[in-house]
Amino acid sequence: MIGTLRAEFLKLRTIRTTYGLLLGVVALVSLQVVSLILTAGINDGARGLTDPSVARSVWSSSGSATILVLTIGIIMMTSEYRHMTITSTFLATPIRGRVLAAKMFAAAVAGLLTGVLCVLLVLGVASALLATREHATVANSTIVAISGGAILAYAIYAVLGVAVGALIRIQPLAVMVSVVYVFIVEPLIAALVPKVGRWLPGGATNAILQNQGFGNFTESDYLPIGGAALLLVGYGLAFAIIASRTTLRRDIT
Amino acid sequence: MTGFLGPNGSGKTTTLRCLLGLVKPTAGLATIGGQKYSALNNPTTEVGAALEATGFHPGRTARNHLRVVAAAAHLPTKRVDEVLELVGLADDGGRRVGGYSLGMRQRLQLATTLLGDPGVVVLDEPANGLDPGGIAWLRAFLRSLAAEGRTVLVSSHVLSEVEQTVDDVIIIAKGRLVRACTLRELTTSRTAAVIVRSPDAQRFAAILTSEFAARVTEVDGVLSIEGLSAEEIGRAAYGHSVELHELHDDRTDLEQIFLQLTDGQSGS
Repeated sequence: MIGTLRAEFLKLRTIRTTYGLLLGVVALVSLQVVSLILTAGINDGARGLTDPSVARSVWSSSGSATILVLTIGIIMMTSEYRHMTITSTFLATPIRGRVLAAKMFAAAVAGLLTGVLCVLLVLGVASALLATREHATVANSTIVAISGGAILAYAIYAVLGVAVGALIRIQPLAVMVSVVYVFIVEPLIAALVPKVGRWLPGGATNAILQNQGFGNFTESDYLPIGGAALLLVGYGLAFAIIASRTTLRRDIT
Repeated sequence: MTGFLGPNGSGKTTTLRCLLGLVKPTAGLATIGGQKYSALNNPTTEVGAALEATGFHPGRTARNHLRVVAAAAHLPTKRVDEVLELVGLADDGGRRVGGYSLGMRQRLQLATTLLGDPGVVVLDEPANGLDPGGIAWLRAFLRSLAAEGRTVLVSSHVLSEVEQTVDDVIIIAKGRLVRACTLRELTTSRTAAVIVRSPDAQRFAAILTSEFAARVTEVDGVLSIEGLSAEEIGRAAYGHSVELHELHDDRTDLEQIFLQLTDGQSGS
Protein backbone atom coordinates (compact mmCIF):
# COMPACT_ATOMS: atom_id res chain seq x y z
CA MET A 1 0.00 0.00 0.00
CA ILE A 2 2.88 2.37 0.81
CA GLY A 3 4.38 1.73 -2.62
CA THR A 4 1.07 2.30 -4.39
CA LEU A 5 0.60 5.51 -2.43
CA ARG A 6 4.10 6.76 -3.27
CA ALA A 7 3.43 6.00 -6.92
CA GLU A 8 0.23 8.07 -6.79
CA PHE A 9 2.01 11.08 -5.28
CA LEU A 10 4.72 10.77 -7.93
CA LYS A 11 2.11 10.67 -10.69
CA LEU A 12 0.59 13.89 -9.39
CA ARG A 13 3.95 15.60 -9.10
CA THR A 14 5.28 14.61 -12.50
CA ILE A 15 2.67 16.13 -14.79
CA ARG A 16 2.15 19.81 -15.56
CA THR A 17 -1.64 19.58 -15.36
CA THR A 18 -1.42 19.45 -11.57
CA TYR A 19 0.54 22.68 -11.39
CA GLY A 20 -1.71 24.33 -13.97
CA LEU A 21 -4.78 23.54 -11.93
CA LEU A 22 -3.07 24.69 -8.74
CA LEU A 23 -2.31 27.99 -10.44
CA GLY A 24 -5.97 28.16 -11.46
CA VAL A 25 -7.03 27.62 -7.85
CA VAL A 26 -4.76 30.43 -6.64
CA ALA A 27 -6.04 32.77 -9.37
CA LEU A 28 -9.69 31.98 -8.69
CA VAL A 29 -9.39 32.40 -4.92
CA SER A 30 -7.41 35.66 -5.31
CA LEU A 31 -10.00 37.02 -7.71
CA GLN A 32 -12.84 36.03 -5.40
CA VAL A 33 -11.43 37.59 -2.25
CA VAL A 34 -10.27 40.80 -3.93
CA SER A 35 -13.47 41.37 -5.91
CA LEU A 36 -15.61 40.59 -2.88
CA ILE A 37 -13.86 43.19 -0.73
CA LEU A 38 -13.66 45.83 -3.45
CA THR A 39 -17.25 45.51 -4.69
CA ALA A 40 -19.14 44.79 -1.46
CA GLY A 41 -21.96 47.30 -1.00
CA ILE A 42 -21.06 49.10 -4.19
CA ASN A 43 -24.65 48.92 -5.49
CA ASP A 44 -27.43 50.83 -3.82
CA GLY A 45 -29.15 48.71 -1.25
CA ALA A 46 -26.59 45.92 -1.37
CA ARG A 47 -25.11 44.81 1.90
CA GLY A 48 -21.57 46.04 2.48
CA LEU A 49 -18.66 44.78 4.52
CA THR A 50 -20.31 46.15 7.65
CA ASP A 51 -22.82 43.33 7.34
CA PRO A 52 -21.54 40.39 9.44
CA SER A 53 -22.51 37.74 6.89
CA VAL A 54 -20.74 39.59 4.05
CA ALA A 55 -17.67 40.08 6.21
CA ARG A 56 -17.76 36.35 6.96
CA SER A 57 -17.98 35.40 3.31
CA VAL A 58 -14.72 37.28 2.68
CA TRP A 59 -13.02 34.52 4.67
CA SER A 60 -15.07 31.84 2.89
CA SER A 61 -13.31 32.88 -0.33
CA SER A 62 -10.51 30.44 0.50
CA GLY A 63 -12.96 27.64 -0.30
CA SER A 64 -14.28 29.07 -3.57
CA ALA A 65 -12.26 26.89 -5.94
CA THR A 66 -13.83 23.54 -5.08
CA ILE A 67 -14.66 22.89 -8.74
CA LEU A 68 -10.97 23.04 -9.69
CA VAL A 69 -9.97 20.79 -6.80
CA LEU A 70 -12.69 18.38 -7.92
CA THR A 71 -11.12 18.49 -11.38
CA ILE A 72 -7.71 17.54 -9.96
CA GLY A 73 -9.31 14.41 -8.52
CA ILE A 74 -11.17 13.65 -11.75
CA ILE A 75 -7.95 13.96 -13.75
CA MET A 76 -6.03 11.72 -11.34
CA MET A 77 -8.39 8.90 -12.25
CA THR A 78 -9.49 9.61 -15.81
CA SER A 79 -6.05 10.40 -17.22
CA GLU A 80 -5.13 6.78 -16.44
CA TYR A 81 -7.86 5.63 -18.82
CA ARG A 82 -7.29 8.42 -21.30
CA HIS A 83 -3.60 7.65 -21.76
CA MET A 84 -4.00 3.93 -21.02
CA THR A 85 -1.53 4.12 -18.15
CA ILE A 86 -4.16 2.18 -16.18
CA THR A 87 -2.63 -0.99 -17.67
CA SER A 88 0.75 -0.45 -16.06
CA THR A 89 -0.93 0.77 -12.88
CA PHE A 90 -2.98 -2.41 -12.52
CA LEU A 91 -0.01 -4.56 -13.57
CA ALA A 92 2.03 -3.09 -10.71
CA THR A 93 -0.90 -3.23 -8.28
CA PRO A 94 -3.38 -5.90 -9.42
CA ILE A 95 -5.65 -5.32 -6.42
CA ARG A 96 -7.73 -2.56 -7.97
CA GLY A 97 -9.41 -1.41 -4.79
CA ARG A 98 -5.97 -0.66 -3.42
CA VAL A 99 -5.24 1.63 -6.38
CA LEU A 100 -8.51 3.48 -5.84
CA ALA A 101 -7.84 3.82 -2.10
CA ALA A 102 -4.30 5.10 -2.75
CA LYS A 103 -5.61 7.63 -5.27
CA MET A 104 -8.25 8.86 -2.84
CA PHE A 105 -5.69 9.21 -0.07
CA ALA A 106 -3.24 11.04 -2.34
CA ALA A 107 -6.11 13.26 -3.52
CA ALA A 108 -7.07 14.05 0.07
CA VAL A 109 -3.52 15.10 0.87
CA ALA A 110 -3.28 17.16 -2.33
CA GLY A 111 -6.61 18.83 -1.53
CA LEU A 112 -5.50 19.49 2.02
CA LEU A 113 -2.27 21.16 0.89
CA THR A 114 -4.17 23.22 -1.68
CA GLY A 115 -6.58 24.24 1.05
CA VAL A 116 -3.75 25.36 3.36
CA LEU A 117 -2.26 27.40 0.52
CA CYS A 118 -5.62 29.10 -0.18
CA VAL A 119 -6.27 29.82 3.47
CA LEU A 120 -2.85 31.49 3.82
CA LEU A 121 -3.49 33.42 0.63
CA VAL A 122 -6.86 34.71 1.81
CA LEU A 123 -5.52 35.50 5.27
CA GLY A 124 -2.79 37.64 3.71
CA VAL A 125 -4.90 39.39 1.06
CA ALA A 126 -7.99 39.93 3.22
CA SER A 127 -6.04 41.24 6.21
CA ALA A 128 -4.23 43.73 4.00
CA LEU A 129 -7.33 44.93 2.13
CA LEU A 130 -9.73 44.98 5.09
CA ALA A 131 -7.32 47.14 7.10
CA THR A 132 -8.22 50.12 4.92
CA ARG A 133 -11.97 49.59 5.02
CA GLU A 134 -14.81 49.77 7.43
CA HIS A 135 -16.04 46.25 8.12
CA ALA A 136 -17.88 44.11 10.61
CA THR A 137 -15.55 42.22 12.91
CA VAL A 138 -15.48 38.48 12.49
CA ALA A 139 -14.42 36.54 15.55
CA ASN A 140 -11.04 34.80 15.25
CA SER A 141 -12.67 31.52 16.19
CA THR A 142 -15.07 31.92 13.24
CA ILE A 143 -12.19 32.63 10.85
CA VAL A 144 -10.42 29.51 12.11
CA ALA A 145 -13.59 27.44 11.68
CA ILE A 146 -14.20 28.74 8.14
CA SER A 147 -10.54 28.22 7.17
CA GLY A 148 -10.54 24.71 8.60
CA GLY A 149 -13.76 24.11 6.71
CA ALA A 150 -12.18 25.25 3.45
CA ILE A 151 -9.22 22.89 3.92
CA LEU A 152 -11.57 20.02 4.74
CA ALA A 153 -13.81 20.83 1.78
CA TYR A 154 -10.84 20.76 -0.62
CA ALA A 155 -9.62 17.45 0.74
CA ILE A 156 -13.09 15.94 0.32
CA TYR A 157 -13.68 17.45 -3.13
CA ALA A 158 -10.40 16.01 -4.41
CA VAL A 159 -11.50 12.60 -3.11
CA LEU A 160 -14.94 13.09 -4.67
CA GLY A 161 -13.19 13.90 -7.95
CA VAL A 162 -11.33 10.57 -7.92
CA ALA A 163 -14.60 8.75 -7.25
CA VAL A 164 -16.41 10.67 -10.02
CA GLY A 165 -13.52 9.87 -12.38
CA ALA A 166 -13.75 6.18 -11.48
CA LEU A 167 -17.47 6.23 -12.28
CA ILE A 168 -17.23 8.33 -15.44
CA ARG A 169 -13.99 7.19 -17.02
CA ILE A 170 -14.12 9.51 -20.04
CA GLN A 171 -12.23 12.60 -18.93
CA PRO A 172 -14.02 15.37 -20.88
CA LEU A 173 -17.39 13.86 -19.98
CA ALA A 174 -16.52 13.61 -16.29
CA VAL A 175 -15.34 17.25 -16.17
CA MET A 176 -18.34 18.46 -18.15
CA VAL A 177 -20.85 16.60 -15.98
CA SER A 178 -19.22 18.03 -12.85
CA VAL A 179 -19.22 21.58 -14.16
CA VAL A 180 -22.84 21.38 -15.28
CA TYR A 181 -23.81 19.89 -11.95
CA VAL A 182 -21.92 22.41 -9.81
CA PHE A 183 -22.88 25.51 -11.77
CA ILE A 184 -26.37 24.70 -13.02
CA VAL A 185 -28.06 21.68 -11.46
CA GLU A 186 -27.09 22.23 -7.85
CA PRO A 187 -27.83 26.00 -7.69
CA LEU A 188 -31.17 25.33 -9.37
CA ILE A 189 -32.14 22.69 -6.83
CA ALA A 190 -30.87 24.90 -4.00
CA ALA A 191 -33.00 27.80 -5.22
CA LEU A 192 -36.15 25.81 -5.89
CA VAL A 193 -36.10 23.24 -3.10
CA PRO A 194 -33.71 24.37 -0.31
CA LYS A 195 -34.80 21.42 1.81
CA VAL A 196 -33.15 19.10 -0.72
CA GLY A 197 -30.38 21.52 -1.61
CA ARG A 198 -28.84 21.52 1.80
CA TRP A 199 -28.26 17.79 1.58
CA LEU A 200 -26.29 18.14 -1.68
CA PRO A 201 -22.47 18.38 -1.70
CA GLY A 202 -22.67 22.09 -2.55
CA GLY A 203 -25.11 22.76 0.28
CA ALA A 204 -22.91 20.89 2.73
CA THR A 205 -19.82 22.76 1.50
CA ASN A 206 -21.46 26.15 1.96
CA ALA A 207 -22.54 25.07 5.41
CA ILE A 208 -18.98 24.33 6.51
CA LEU A 209 -17.70 27.46 4.80
CA GLN A 210 -20.48 29.42 6.60
CA ASN A 211 -21.10 31.05 3.26
CA GLN A 212 -24.15 33.02 2.22
CA GLY A 213 -25.28 33.13 -1.34
CA PHE A 214 -26.10 29.51 -2.08
CA GLY A 215 -29.56 29.63 -3.57
CA ASN A 216 -31.67 31.86 -1.32
CA PHE A 217 -30.27 30.16 1.74
CA THR A 218 -30.30 31.82 5.07
CA GLU A 219 -28.21 30.53 7.94
CA SER A 220 -30.99 28.37 9.26
CA ASP A 221 -31.33 26.53 5.95
CA TYR A 222 -27.88 24.96 6.29
CA LEU A 223 -27.00 21.74 8.01
CA PRO A 224 -24.89 22.04 11.16
CA ILE A 225 -21.17 22.28 10.34
CA GLY A 226 -20.17 18.90 11.78
CA GLY A 227 -23.06 17.11 10.11
CA ALA A 228 -22.29 18.78 6.78
CA ALA A 229 -18.65 17.65 6.98
CA LEU A 230 -19.73 14.09 7.72
CA LEU A 231 -22.19 14.21 4.83
CA LEU A 232 -19.41 15.26 2.42
CA VAL A 233 -17.19 12.42 3.60
CA GLY A 234 -20.17 10.11 3.13
CA TYR A 235 -20.62 11.25 -0.48
CA GLY A 236 -16.96 10.49 -1.21
CA LEU A 237 -17.17 7.03 0.34
CA ALA A 238 -20.47 6.21 -1.35
CA PHE A 239 -19.13 7.16 -4.80
CA ALA A 240 -15.96 5.17 -4.18
CA ILE A 241 -17.87 2.07 -3.10
CA ILE A 242 -20.19 2.27 -6.11
CA ALA A 243 -17.19 2.71 -8.44
CA SER A 244 -15.24 -0.19 -6.94
CA ARG A 245 -18.29 -2.44 -7.32
CA THR A 246 -18.95 -1.42 -10.92
CA THR A 247 -16.66 0.52 -13.26
CA LEU A 248 -13.43 -0.41 -11.51
CA ARG A 249 -14.07 -4.11 -12.17
CA ARG A 250 -14.41 -3.68 -15.89
CA ASP A 251 -11.97 -5.33 -18.25
CA ILE A 252 -8.98 -3.26 -19.28
CA THR A 253 -8.69 -3.61 -23.04
CA MET B 1 11.29 -18.60 -25.19
CA THR B 2 7.85 -19.25 -26.57
CA GLY B 3 6.28 -17.56 -29.55
CA PHE B 4 2.57 -16.95 -29.23
CA LEU B 5 1.30 -16.70 -32.76
CA GLY B 6 -1.92 -16.06 -34.55
CA PRO B 7 -3.37 -13.75 -37.17
CA ASN B 8 -4.70 -10.33 -36.21
CA GLY B 9 -7.87 -10.66 -34.19
CA SER B 10 -7.24 -14.28 -33.22
CA GLY B 11 -7.26 -13.48 -29.50
CA LYS B 12 -3.58 -13.18 -28.59
CA THR B 13 -3.84 -9.89 -26.72
CA THR B 14 -7.04 -10.94 -24.99
CA THR B 15 -5.39 -14.18 -23.84
CA LEU B 16 -2.41 -12.25 -22.47
CA ARG B 17 -4.73 -9.79 -20.74
CA CYS B 18 -6.53 -12.70 -19.11
CA LEU B 19 -3.16 -14.06 -18.00
CA LEU B 20 -2.29 -10.71 -16.43
CA GLY B 21 -5.59 -10.23 -14.65
CA LEU B 22 -6.69 -7.26 -16.75
CA VAL B 23 -9.54 -9.12 -18.41
CA LYS B 24 -11.78 -11.58 -16.62
CA PRO B 25 -12.14 -14.80 -18.63
CA THR B 26 -15.72 -15.99 -19.14
CA ALA B 27 -14.54 -19.39 -18.03
CA GLY B 28 -11.29 -20.96 -16.95
CA LEU B 29 -8.21 -19.84 -15.12
CA ALA B 30 -4.89 -18.35 -16.18
CA THR B 31 -1.88 -18.79 -13.93
CA ILE B 32 1.80 -17.91 -13.93
CA GLY B 33 3.94 -20.44 -12.08
CA GLY B 34 0.71 -21.90 -10.71
CA GLN B 35 -0.53 -18.60 -9.30
CA LYS B 36 -3.08 -16.10 -10.50
CA TYR B 37 -1.42 -12.81 -11.42
CA SER B 38 -3.46 -10.92 -8.84
CA ALA B 39 -2.24 -13.32 -6.14
CA LEU B 40 1.41 -12.46 -6.77
CA ASN B 41 2.90 -10.56 -3.88
CA ASN B 42 4.87 -8.01 -5.88
CA PRO B 43 4.11 -8.85 -9.52
CA THR B 44 6.60 -6.37 -11.00
CA THR B 45 9.47 -8.44 -9.60
CA GLU B 46 8.07 -11.73 -10.88
CA VAL B 47 6.44 -10.95 -14.21
CA GLY B 48 7.43 -8.18 -16.57
CA ALA B 49 4.68 -7.47 -19.05
CA ALA B 50 4.44 -5.15 -22.01
CA LEU B 51 1.05 -5.09 -23.65
CA GLU B 52 -0.08 -3.45 -26.82
CA ALA B 53 -1.94 -0.23 -26.19
CA THR B 54 -0.29 0.27 -22.85
CA GLY B 55 0.14 3.96 -22.68
CA PHE B 56 2.37 6.62 -21.31
CA HIS B 57 1.26 10.02 -20.14
CA PRO B 58 2.59 12.26 -22.92
CA GLY B 59 3.54 14.98 -20.47
CA ARG B 60 5.57 12.72 -18.20
CA THR B 61 9.23 12.01 -18.86
CA ALA B 62 10.34 8.44 -19.50
CA ARG B 63 12.39 8.50 -16.32
CA ASN B 64 9.41 9.67 -14.27
CA HIS B 65 7.19 7.02 -15.85
CA LEU B 66 9.68 4.39 -14.68
CA ARG B 67 9.98 6.03 -11.26
CA VAL B 68 6.21 5.68 -10.80
CA VAL B 69 6.32 1.95 -11.59
CA ALA B 70 9.43 1.52 -9.42
CA ALA B 71 7.72 3.27 -6.50
CA ALA B 72 4.66 1.02 -6.76
CA ALA B 73 6.93 -2.05 -6.68
CA HIS B 74 9.22 -0.80 -3.89
CA LEU B 75 12.22 -0.69 -6.22
CA PRO B 76 15.13 1.74 -5.81
CA THR B 77 15.36 4.69 -8.22
CA LYS B 78 18.81 3.58 -9.36
CA ARG B 79 17.11 0.64 -11.06
CA VAL B 80 15.32 3.18 -13.27
CA ASP B 81 18.62 4.46 -14.67
CA GLU B 82 19.88 0.89 -15.11
CA VAL B 83 16.96 -0.15 -17.32
CA LEU B 84 17.09 3.09 -19.31
CA GLU B 85 20.74 2.27 -20.01
CA LEU B 86 19.82 -1.31 -20.89
CA VAL B 87 17.39 -0.33 -23.65
CA GLY B 88 19.52 2.52 -24.93
CA LEU B 89 17.38 5.39 -23.67
CA ALA B 90 19.83 6.74 -21.10
CA ASP B 91 20.23 10.04 -22.95
CA ASP B 92 16.51 10.52 -23.61
CA GLY B 93 15.16 9.57 -20.18
CA GLY B 94 14.58 13.20 -19.24
CA ARG B 95 12.43 13.92 -22.28
CA ARG B 96 8.63 13.86 -22.23
CA VAL B 97 7.25 10.68 -23.77
CA GLY B 98 4.93 12.77 -25.97
CA GLY B 99 7.96 13.51 -28.14
CA TYR B 100 9.04 9.88 -28.43
CA SER B 101 9.01 7.89 -31.66
CA LEU B 102 7.17 4.57 -31.80
CA GLY B 103 10.47 2.72 -31.57
CA MET B 104 11.47 4.66 -28.47
CA ARG B 105 8.11 3.88 -26.87
CA GLN B 106 8.65 0.18 -27.53
CA ARG B 107 12.04 0.44 -25.86
CA LEU B 108 10.50 2.23 -22.91
CA GLN B 109 7.94 -0.57 -22.68
CA LEU B 110 10.75 -3.10 -22.52
CA ALA B 111 12.54 -1.02 -19.90
CA THR B 112 9.34 -1.05 -17.82
CA THR B 113 9.07 -4.84 -18.02
CA LEU B 114 12.65 -5.29 -16.83
CA LEU B 115 12.40 -2.86 -13.93
CA GLY B 116 11.73 -5.58 -11.36
CA ASP B 117 14.28 -8.01 -12.89
CA PRO B 118 11.48 -10.59 -13.38
CA GLY B 119 11.98 -14.26 -14.20
CA VAL B 120 9.03 -14.19 -16.57
CA VAL B 121 8.66 -11.69 -19.40
CA VAL B 122 5.44 -11.32 -21.40
CA LEU B 123 5.65 -9.21 -24.55
CA ASP B 124 2.73 -8.44 -26.82
CA GLU B 125 3.78 -7.65 -30.39
CA PRO B 126 7.02 -5.95 -29.33
CA ALA B 127 8.14 -5.64 -32.95
CA ASN B 128 5.13 -3.56 -34.03
CA GLY B 129 6.19 -0.27 -35.49
CA LEU B 130 9.90 -1.01 -35.34
CA ASP B 131 12.13 -0.32 -38.33
CA PRO B 132 14.43 -3.14 -39.58
CA GLY B 133 17.23 -1.87 -37.36
CA GLY B 134 14.90 -1.86 -34.40
CA ILE B 135 13.72 -5.41 -35.14
CA ALA B 136 17.33 -6.64 -35.32
CA TRP B 137 18.01 -4.92 -32.00
CA LEU B 138 14.86 -6.48 -30.50
CA ARG B 139 15.91 -9.97 -31.63
CA ALA B 140 19.30 -9.65 -29.99
CA PHE B 141 17.64 -8.24 -26.92
CA LEU B 142 15.15 -11.11 -26.66
CA ARG B 143 17.97 -13.63 -27.07
CA SER B 144 19.90 -11.97 -24.26
CA LEU B 145 16.81 -12.18 -22.03
CA ALA B 146 16.46 -15.90 -22.68
CA ALA B 147 20.22 -16.39 -22.24
CA GLU B 148 19.88 -14.86 -18.77
CA GLY B 149 17.55 -17.73 -17.96
CA ARG B 150 14.28 -15.82 -18.17
CA THR B 151 11.08 -17.35 -19.46
CA VAL B 152 9.89 -15.23 -22.35
CA LEU B 153 6.43 -15.33 -23.92
CA VAL B 154 6.31 -13.18 -27.01
CA SER B 155 3.27 -12.73 -29.22
CA SER B 156 3.33 -11.87 -32.88
CA HIS B 157 1.16 -12.09 -35.96
CA VAL B 158 4.24 -12.52 -38.14
CA LEU B 159 5.96 -15.87 -37.69
CA SER B 160 9.17 -14.79 -39.38
CA GLU B 161 9.55 -12.08 -36.75
CA VAL B 162 10.08 -14.62 -34.00
CA GLU B 163 11.18 -17.67 -35.95
CA GLN B 164 14.86 -16.94 -35.35
CA THR B 165 14.47 -16.48 -31.63
CA VAL B 166 11.85 -18.82 -30.18
CA ASP B 167 12.19 -22.42 -28.99
CA ASP B 168 8.50 -23.25 -28.72
CA VAL B 169 5.47 -22.03 -30.58
CA ILE B 170 1.83 -21.77 -29.66
CA ILE B 171 -0.44 -21.01 -32.57
CA ILE B 172 -4.02 -19.87 -32.18
CA ALA B 173 -6.70 -18.87 -34.65
CA LYS B 174 -10.21 -17.56 -34.03
CA GLY B 175 -9.68 -17.89 -30.29
CA ARG B 176 -8.79 -21.61 -30.45
CA LEU B 177 -5.50 -23.41 -29.99
CA VAL B 178 -4.26 -24.78 -33.30
CA ARG B 179 -0.83 -26.07 -32.40
CA ALA B 180 1.53 -26.10 -29.44
CA CYS B 181 4.94 -27.65 -30.10
CA THR B 182 8.62 -26.89 -30.45
CA LEU B 183 9.71 -24.82 -33.42
CA ARG B 184 11.69 -27.84 -34.66
CA GLU B 185 8.60 -30.04 -34.63
CA LEU B 186 6.73 -27.42 -36.57
CA THR B 187 9.40 -27.18 -39.25
CA THR B 188 10.08 -30.92 -39.62
CA SER B 189 6.48 -32.07 -39.43
CA ARG B 190 5.78 -30.73 -42.86
CA THR B 191 9.04 -31.69 -44.62
CA ALA B 192 7.42 -32.82 -47.78
CA ALA B 193 10.25 -33.96 -49.98
CA VAL B 194 13.93 -33.95 -50.79
CA ILE B 195 15.07 -32.05 -53.85
CA VAL B 196 17.82 -33.44 -56.03
CA ARG B 197 19.40 -31.88 -59.11
CA SER B 198 21.43 -34.15 -61.30
CA PRO B 199 22.58 -34.37 -64.97
CA ASP B 200 21.59 -38.05 -64.63
CA ALA B 201 18.13 -37.29 -63.27
CA GLN B 202 16.09 -39.80 -65.23
CA ARG B 203 18.37 -42.77 -64.51
CA PHE B 204 18.48 -41.83 -60.81
CA ALA B 205 14.69 -41.49 -60.71
CA ALA B 206 14.32 -44.99 -62.08
CA ILE B 207 16.77 -46.39 -59.51
CA LEU B 208 14.97 -44.68 -56.62
CA THR B 209 11.55 -45.88 -57.76
CA SER B 210 12.50 -49.46 -58.44
CA GLU B 211 15.03 -50.16 -55.67
CA PHE B 212 13.82 -47.89 -52.85
CA ALA B 213 10.10 -47.60 -53.61
CA ALA B 214 10.29 -43.82 -53.43
CA ARG B 215 7.77 -41.53 -55.08
CA VAL B 216 9.64 -39.36 -57.52
CA THR B 217 8.58 -36.54 -59.77
CA GLU B 218 10.96 -35.04 -62.28
CA VAL B 219 10.89 -31.61 -63.81
CA ASP B 220 13.78 -30.42 -66.02
CA GLY B 221 16.43 -32.50 -64.28
CA VAL B 222 15.22 -31.64 -60.80
CA LEU B 223 13.78 -34.50 -58.75
CA SER B 224 11.34 -34.14 -55.93
CA ILE B 225 11.57 -37.31 -53.84
CA GLU B 226 9.15 -38.45 -51.17
CA GLY B 227 9.57 -41.40 -48.82
CA LEU B 228 13.34 -41.17 -48.38
CA SER B 229 15.57 -39.00 -46.23
CA ALA B 230 18.31 -36.83 -47.69
CA GLU B 231 20.88 -39.20 -46.14
CA GLU B 232 19.38 -42.28 -47.80
CA ILE B 233 19.22 -40.53 -51.15
CA GLY B 234 22.84 -39.40 -50.87
CA ARG B 235 23.94 -42.93 -50.07
CA ALA B 236 21.97 -44.29 -53.03
CA ALA B 237 23.55 -41.75 -55.37
CA TYR B 238 27.02 -42.63 -54.07
CA GLY B 239 26.35 -46.37 -54.47
CA HIS B 240 25.14 -45.97 -58.04
CA SER B 241 27.75 -43.38 -59.01
CA VAL B 242 25.14 -40.75 -59.82
CA GLU B 243 26.50 -37.25 -60.14
CA LEU B 244 24.60 -34.81 -57.91
CA HIS B 245 24.60 -31.04 -58.19
CA GLU B 246 22.14 -30.37 -55.41
CA LEU B 247 20.59 -32.27 -52.52
CA HIS B 248 18.41 -30.62 -49.91
CA ASP B 249 15.26 -30.96 -47.81
CA ASP B 250 12.31 -29.19 -49.33
CA ARG B 251 11.21 -27.55 -46.10
CA THR B 252 7.82 -26.00 -46.48
CA ASP B 253 8.19 -22.35 -45.77
CA LEU B 254 7.31 -21.70 -42.11
CA GLU B 255 5.10 -18.84 -43.12
CA GLN B 256 3.16 -21.24 -45.31
CA ILE B 257 2.73 -23.73 -42.46
CA PHE B 258 1.49 -20.90 -40.34
CA LEU B 259 -1.00 -19.83 -42.96
CA GLN B 260 -2.22 -23.39 -43.52
CA LEU B 261 -2.67 -23.98 -39.80
CA THR B 262 -4.52 -20.79 -39.16
CA ASP B 263 -6.65 -20.82 -42.30
CA GLY B 264 -7.66 -24.46 -42.00
CA GLN B 265 -9.29 -23.59 -38.73
CA SER B 266 -12.56 -22.56 -40.29
CA GLY B 267 -12.92 -25.95 -41.98
CA SER B 268 -12.18 -28.15 -38.98
